[in-house]
Amino acid sequence: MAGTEAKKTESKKPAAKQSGAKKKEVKKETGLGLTHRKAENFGEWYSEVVVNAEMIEYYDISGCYILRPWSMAIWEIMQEFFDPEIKKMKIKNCYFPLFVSPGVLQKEKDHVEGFAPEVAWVTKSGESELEIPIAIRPTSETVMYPYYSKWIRGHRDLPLKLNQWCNVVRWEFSNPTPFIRSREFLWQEGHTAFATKDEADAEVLEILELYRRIYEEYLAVPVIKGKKSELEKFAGGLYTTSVEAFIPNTGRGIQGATSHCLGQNFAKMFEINFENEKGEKAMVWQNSWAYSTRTIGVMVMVHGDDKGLVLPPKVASVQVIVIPVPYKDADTQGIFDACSATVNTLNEAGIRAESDSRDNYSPGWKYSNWEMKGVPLRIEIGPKDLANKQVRAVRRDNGAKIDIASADLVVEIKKLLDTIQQNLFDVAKQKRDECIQIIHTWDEFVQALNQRKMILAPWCDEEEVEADVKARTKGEMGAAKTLCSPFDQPELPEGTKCFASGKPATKWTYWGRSY
Amino acid sequence: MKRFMLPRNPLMDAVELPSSPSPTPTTSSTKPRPSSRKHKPSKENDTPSFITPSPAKLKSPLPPRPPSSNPLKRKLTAVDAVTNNSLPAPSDSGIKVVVNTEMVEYYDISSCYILRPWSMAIWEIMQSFIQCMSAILQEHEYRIADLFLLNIYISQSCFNFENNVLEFFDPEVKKMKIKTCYFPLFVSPEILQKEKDHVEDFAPEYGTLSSPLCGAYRSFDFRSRQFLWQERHTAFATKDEADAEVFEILELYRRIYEEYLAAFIPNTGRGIQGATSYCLGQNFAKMFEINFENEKGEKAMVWKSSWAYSTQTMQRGCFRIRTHDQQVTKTQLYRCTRVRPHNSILISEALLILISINIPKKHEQDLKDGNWVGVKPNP
Repeated sequence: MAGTEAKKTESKKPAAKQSGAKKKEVKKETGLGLTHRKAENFGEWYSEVVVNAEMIEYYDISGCYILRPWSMAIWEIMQEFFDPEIKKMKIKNCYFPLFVSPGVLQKEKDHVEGFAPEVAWVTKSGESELEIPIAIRPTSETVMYPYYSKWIRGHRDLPLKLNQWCNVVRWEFSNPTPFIRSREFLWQEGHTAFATKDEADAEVLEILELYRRIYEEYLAVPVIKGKKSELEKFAGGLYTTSVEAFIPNTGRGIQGATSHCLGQNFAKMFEINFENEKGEKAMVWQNSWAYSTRTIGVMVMVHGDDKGLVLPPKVASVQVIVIPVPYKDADTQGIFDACSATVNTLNEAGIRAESDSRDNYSPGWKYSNWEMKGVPLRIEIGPKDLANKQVRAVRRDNGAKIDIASADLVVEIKKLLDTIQQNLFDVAKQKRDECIQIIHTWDEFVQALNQRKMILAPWCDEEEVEADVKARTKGEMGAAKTLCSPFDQPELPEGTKCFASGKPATKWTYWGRSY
Repeated sequence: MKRFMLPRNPLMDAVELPSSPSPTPTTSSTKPRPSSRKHKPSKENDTPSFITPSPAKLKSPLPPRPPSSNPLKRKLTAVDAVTNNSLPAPSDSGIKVVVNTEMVEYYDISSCYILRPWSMAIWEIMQSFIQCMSAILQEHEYRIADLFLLNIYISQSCFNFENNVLEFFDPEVKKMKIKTCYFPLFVSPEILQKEKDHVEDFAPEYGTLSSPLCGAYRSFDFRSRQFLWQERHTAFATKDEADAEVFEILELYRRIYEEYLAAFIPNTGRGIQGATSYCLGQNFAKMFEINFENEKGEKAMVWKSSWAYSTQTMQRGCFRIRTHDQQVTKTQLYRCTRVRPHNSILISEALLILISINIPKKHEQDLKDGNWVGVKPNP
């Protein structure tokens, strides 16, 4: 992208010696800063942040992105939480091949229709045409289930619970967006088979709770647990549950992660049968569930600001950055030694801290650089701090400055990191809740949609009505659709009418545009 | 090469009980397969059921299945029959080991394999291991204590598969900084053509099988069309730094081999390339214009190195088990690979082959002269 290249050139200007307090001055003098404001031009702002914060690099194949270490560390930290949790549930990791043969892919027609436009195919090897083209997995149901059929014969083979960490390819054609919508992305996919529906139902919710924890406890992003409509559920599945996030700046919902009960449909297609305890032949009940690098994009959208990325401490690969502030005639070596000692003390206590002792940049430039990259806490050590045996801490989330005695460093920094993590969540939740609007009529619905609200509406739960709402709201901003029907249902007074059809409403459902 | 599928009950054919003739083979569909749940801790010392099968112990035998409309299943059944008749003897055991221990499953696209949980757990442990190794290298010093802890970590992991293996990290190693990234799967043709040597080296492997390591095992190919690996690519300002890193990796491999895995060396007389460490010099830097301005303000090219290991390393570990036939009876081997506390043997076998190093020819003389030991990067 020409625009991106221009920005990259700009950001590499030699740094000025001074630092300025005002935004314009900072940008002018340091060469850092964003061209677009989050509130004014969200889409351009987002594209700029993920590049300037060194999270991604654009690749020479459109819709494909390089995940740089700053992003990959976040993915790994989430993995370090999730992988042990599923192992506690006796779910084991495995790896199935990337390729799917066409015969197997075609086996489940509903499933295939859901993905067909996005499947990428390998048609050549070297310079020769392949006799039969091979598909690259958009997901792994059709890759795995023939082998579930082979491996499962009796009830003692159940439950069979497998997970894989892998990449998938969906050759999307519209609106490529880093982390949110890309042709190749990283994810985790779990595929489990049970003897009974009760077991399957229970696991769907257990996994969904883990996904909520990833979002709320790690990424500090509030989500709503709920069930998808028939129109929006996983193609070929029985029902789909999800955690839904919301982006206030655009008024769009975003599906955070999904946990599907597949029922027995795939078992029927792939003949995944077993002999039960009574000696009767039965089909298994299956689930599949996944979260992906989309999680990272949601976090950026929710927390980022006009200075750049804002990282929740729990997923920051660098939680604290220590910056020396040397001064004329001051004890420079003492300052650098204090910075090293501070980093070591924090690291010993399990805090991920680094120092920035580069001598070719000014302290002011460094402040802006690490703010752009979203480091939760900055520590400044200058001659005065050295003399007073203290450090100055600056929070990334709200800019607050706190002087901390060196003797209390570890305790105070840990408190601050916890406070920042909680504050990011609280602020995000407040913003989202302010956007939730309960409506009852079509007119109210249209008004709320135009106001970028997350709309909670009484609905008759009919597929035709949902399709009708989509048709009636179709426009350049995109159509409205159901996000989910929350598990926490408010009271539905008797006689309440569906906002769109006028028929008796049966449930409350969140509606809106979505990514 | 042809893809070989095994009969459903190959273990019955493979077991040679010393005190009695082999039992008469029965149709596979009448016997339930051992469940993966038999690997639970409470059963870890039980004799595997395939060694002493007893009709009286079988519950709810399954009736023969009617012909399946699943084309994959029909294919598997058909291939089973062929395999029964045509497998050459020398390769039989090798294949059976990896399939019967539930490490891999053949896939319906030839030369692609499913890595089952038993394999994946080993790969994950090795990943944690290589992370430690990588972290140590970044500190440019090798401490006996760290290697000792790694060994304990490896041993303990065998007994704690279901725990978070990261719990066994040395806390100090955990603090060391390791950075990973992810580059897309796809390469555009223009970029691929940019390095013609690179393309020529790899082109024959796009969709074709590589040669087997030796004729006797032609039917068991250690290479896959797709495999998992770890690759690290580094760039330096000076050749000395790049050279130093190549040898640092080698030195670490040597110490693991000599100081911790010596007891496991079998006398096979055959080397296997387990892992590689290359100094790429400046050739790629030239092709892709990887330049930097040095301290004097002059334009210069970086020096690159790379090193990698993969699931092929693990597959070769399985091959090594194959060579134990003379020393370990099949019964003992199956017991070892099935019973969890003994997995350390399997894992150490995989680690053992990390000692095989492929060094660029131009460094061979340095190695012979012993010059490579102790090379350090410039301060």
